[in-house]
Amino acid sequence: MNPIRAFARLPRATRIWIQTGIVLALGVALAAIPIVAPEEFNLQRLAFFVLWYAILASAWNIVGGYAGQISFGHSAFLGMGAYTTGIFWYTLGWDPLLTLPIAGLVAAAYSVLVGAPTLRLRGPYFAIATIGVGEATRLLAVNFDDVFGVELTHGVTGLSLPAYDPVLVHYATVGLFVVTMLTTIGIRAGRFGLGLFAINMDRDAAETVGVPTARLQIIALAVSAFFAGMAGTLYAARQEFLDPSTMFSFSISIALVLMPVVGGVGTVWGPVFGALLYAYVQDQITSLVNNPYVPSLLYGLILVAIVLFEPLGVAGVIDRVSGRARRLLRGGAAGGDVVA
Amino acid sequence: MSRSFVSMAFVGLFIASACGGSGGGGAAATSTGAAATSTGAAATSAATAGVPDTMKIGYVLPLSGADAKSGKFIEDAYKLYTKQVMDAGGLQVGGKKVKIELKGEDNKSDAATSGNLYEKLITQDKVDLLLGGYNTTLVTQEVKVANRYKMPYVNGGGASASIYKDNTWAFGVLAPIEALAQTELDFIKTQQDANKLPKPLTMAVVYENTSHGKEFSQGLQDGAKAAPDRFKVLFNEPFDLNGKDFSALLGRVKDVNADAFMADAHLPDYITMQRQYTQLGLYHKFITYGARGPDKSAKDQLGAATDYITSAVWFDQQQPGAAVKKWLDTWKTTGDDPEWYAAAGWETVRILYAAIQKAGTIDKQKVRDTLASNSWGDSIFPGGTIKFDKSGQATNVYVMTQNLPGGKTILIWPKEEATGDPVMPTPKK
Amino acid sequence: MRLLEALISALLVAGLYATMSYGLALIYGVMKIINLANAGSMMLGAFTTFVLWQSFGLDPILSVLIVAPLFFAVGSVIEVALVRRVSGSPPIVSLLLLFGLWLVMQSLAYLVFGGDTRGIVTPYVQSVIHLGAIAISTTRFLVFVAGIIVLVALELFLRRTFLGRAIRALAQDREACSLVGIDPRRVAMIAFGLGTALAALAGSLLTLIFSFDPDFGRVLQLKSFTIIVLGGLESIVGVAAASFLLAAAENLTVTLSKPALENLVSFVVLVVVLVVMPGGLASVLRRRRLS
Repeated sequence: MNPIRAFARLPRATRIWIQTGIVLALGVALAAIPIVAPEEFNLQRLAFFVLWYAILASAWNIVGGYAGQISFGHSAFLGMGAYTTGIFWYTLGWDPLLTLPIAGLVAAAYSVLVGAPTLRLRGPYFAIATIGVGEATRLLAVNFDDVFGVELTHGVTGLSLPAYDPVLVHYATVGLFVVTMLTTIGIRAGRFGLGLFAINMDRDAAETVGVPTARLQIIALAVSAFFAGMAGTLYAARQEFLDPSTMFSFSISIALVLMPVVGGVGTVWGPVFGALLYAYVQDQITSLVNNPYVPSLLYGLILVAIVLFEPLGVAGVIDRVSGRARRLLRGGAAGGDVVA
Repeated sequence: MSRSFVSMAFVGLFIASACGGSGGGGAAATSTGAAATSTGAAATSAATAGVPDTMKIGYVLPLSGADAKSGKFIEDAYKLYTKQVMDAGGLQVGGKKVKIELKGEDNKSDAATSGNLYEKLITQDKVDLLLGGYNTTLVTQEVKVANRYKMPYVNGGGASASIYKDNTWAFGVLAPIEALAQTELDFIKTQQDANKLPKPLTMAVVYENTSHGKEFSQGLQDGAKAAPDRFKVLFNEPFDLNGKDFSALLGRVKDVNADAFMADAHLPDYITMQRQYTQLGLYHKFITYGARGPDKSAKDQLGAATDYITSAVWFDQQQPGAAVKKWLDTWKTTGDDPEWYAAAGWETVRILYAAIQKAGTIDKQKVRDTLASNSWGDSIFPGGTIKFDKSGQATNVYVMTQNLPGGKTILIWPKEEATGDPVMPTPKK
Repeated sequence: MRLLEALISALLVAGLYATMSYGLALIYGVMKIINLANAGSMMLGAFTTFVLWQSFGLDPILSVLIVAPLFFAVGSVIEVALVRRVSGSPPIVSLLLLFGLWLVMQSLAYLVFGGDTRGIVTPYVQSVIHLGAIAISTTRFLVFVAGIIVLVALELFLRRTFLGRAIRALAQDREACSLVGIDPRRVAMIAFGLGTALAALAGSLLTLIFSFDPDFGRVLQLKSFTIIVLGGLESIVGVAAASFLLAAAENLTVTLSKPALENLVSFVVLVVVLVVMPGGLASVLRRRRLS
């Protein structure tokens, strides 16, 4: 029996359990890498970056895909989390992985601070406002290197952090990836996600049927920032060096928009595809082609193509292709959409 | 579910390519070299047994983006010196001549990319040793990677002392920026003694918001604190890189009415700022832009506006000595200007290869120790010798230059290397 | 005297900002689209001028005569081929589309020209005009004058010509346009073309003052957003006024506190204005006039 058809026929709850299972299985497999292949540093390096991008892209997707508020300034939350960990580590000597939740909370708090006034704005205005927030955060980090004489961010010199075991970071990254994916699956399946989708489709109509739009949007942004902040911690622990122009950079913010949109905005696995594609292209294609600008040209063209033809990105293309395959196999009857 | 199958396929593809790198990446015969894993396992030190036929040297430079110009100079230096060595049959290591394979990457002037690319060079391309990058922020990140993988790393692109904090494996041929500021103050002292510049000299300091700039400012402030009868800082402000309009900032500088204008900026800001400085009709008895001044593109774009500007650099082509002359002749073949970036790149690659030769092996620990414990003569840098201090940074002195009308530039400091008399104070128009 | 100097320098900077922002304002006012590719058009205009200068020694000010019509055509094509297709979708779609287009423009420029910073050196680039004791850079003054000319020309076009009034009509009520015989699609194409031409023109003029690379325009574009939001939507004069306000605010920040915070001002203003008065100054003034 055709496995795709069989899967489509399962009740929704079972499909969700299967997805959860896949995530957990992936998690175990990835966590095993340092144990099974301790000398494969290249694989570990790639695993870190792919997972890291996947976490960030999924986090962004919660507010950008589910709630439909496109943020061009997400690096602000990433940087907030990274610097929180960095500062605690540098000045107080706290273990960075232990500061994971603190970093997440600080980023989330910051998101509420900037989100409360700006989330009221509609679509493109919110996007523009986030550009402003992102850049403003960068400038603040660069310039407020010491507050009342206490050296805080060290401004442009950057925070030079002590050495740290990359294997521990690897486990933490896999762990955070699993948690992020489970959270997105959970949101999409639950009432919170339903509310977000309603707001995404038509905010006024949602208000009319009693959806507390403002509150839900702020929560979505806070959750998104929470995970983005923790991703910042992981970066700090692995790279052992933070500088504001990199952590709060506009190019990271752009990448965080590109990945989910190319992969499939608003879907569970779309951001992961996008992250895989992006990390792969950045890492391997760049040196192959020997020209660093070809990837950005590709992204631009892909983005334009997606907007014009397939808003659901790679995931949408797969869906269409698998839908066509299903119809062929079934012999003509209309195929439903396998929405996870 | 179809999407999951496809994601599995993606993952598989990824793992395949990742492992593919370690399997037999590249045509280089690194089979013996591969024995030296990235954790720096000790290789045998027997004359030819541990030495491969080819060694892979990796580097990542900004070849595009804001620092592309400087990166290109350094890359050209790496390539030219390597070509010279290869033309002579290879580098003499232990008992045999070893071929050198250079592998370079472009980091688009971004620190995170640079760190990642160095990691890739180490873990995927399995390079044996590292040549460094450019620009303090990037080098700081790269040094972290070098230390984590215990790879010797020599660079001529990062001058900030903060780079070499907690460092064992990285070495830099550029002396710290604080020494740059100190050199200029020492020069000013001699001018004050000759009654050419006022005592105390009041200074208006503007610096780019980078660690380079911060250390420049710090050096000046420390100097002022140490000799308050000689130096006074009246104004001290950072500015954001790649500024478009400095008129408001320069307006404040004008208000302060200081004797000296001490700026620290990279090339594009130097050009924009100095142009506006001239247009706003400012005047100071002493003007400096840190390590910028005689840069050719500035002279082209600013013309007479660059007259009388002083700078303190790690190298200038007018330095006396046979080594410098020889290098200038060699460098002519590239058609590039002999700017200090090129000289720094040259010294970097020369010293790394010399260290490998002296150690007689490409074993990472031994090369590192050789770098740390020796002096490297025949240097084109001032003083003729480079020696790395405990933290891994060189301690050479700076030379100072001054632009003269007609596009000329002379060396004004140290006295032994000077090619002309400095014009102090700046003549009024 | 210092105050006068500061005022004049703010005025000159304002002229610069305003010139950059007209294109964005026009497209936004008419089509309610935020043209993220504006920076790309500006940058390509600058590079076109550069190529003309390098190959033929053509002065940037004269190159405007070539650049403006050329980019009018480019803009029209973009509208017909790309923007029109998403005109029914939510505004975020056009935002992403134009963002993608900007990326493509930037990458193409990098591929063709490389990442080096370019500058144009004209004989009068260093010269200064003296107004009594105050010195003004000739090039900045020229750009300021050019900005005023564009402002006046635009206002005349929008108010006196049929096409201009058709554009304003489209901005007010799209459906009504068809009722009175205006083809909204043709007018949209012309508006977008005009907006692109204005951006490219700004890029050409700015080569007199700044050096540029393919990333040119990004930071300036953010200031343009601030300006059009601050100035309100249907008003070209509003853009000019908002430009001056922003330039003055930046100047004050540098003069009174940390110069490094200069760019922060525009972002803070942007966010504050978006949240507090989304209609910009023009709406505040309109409300006051009505009450």
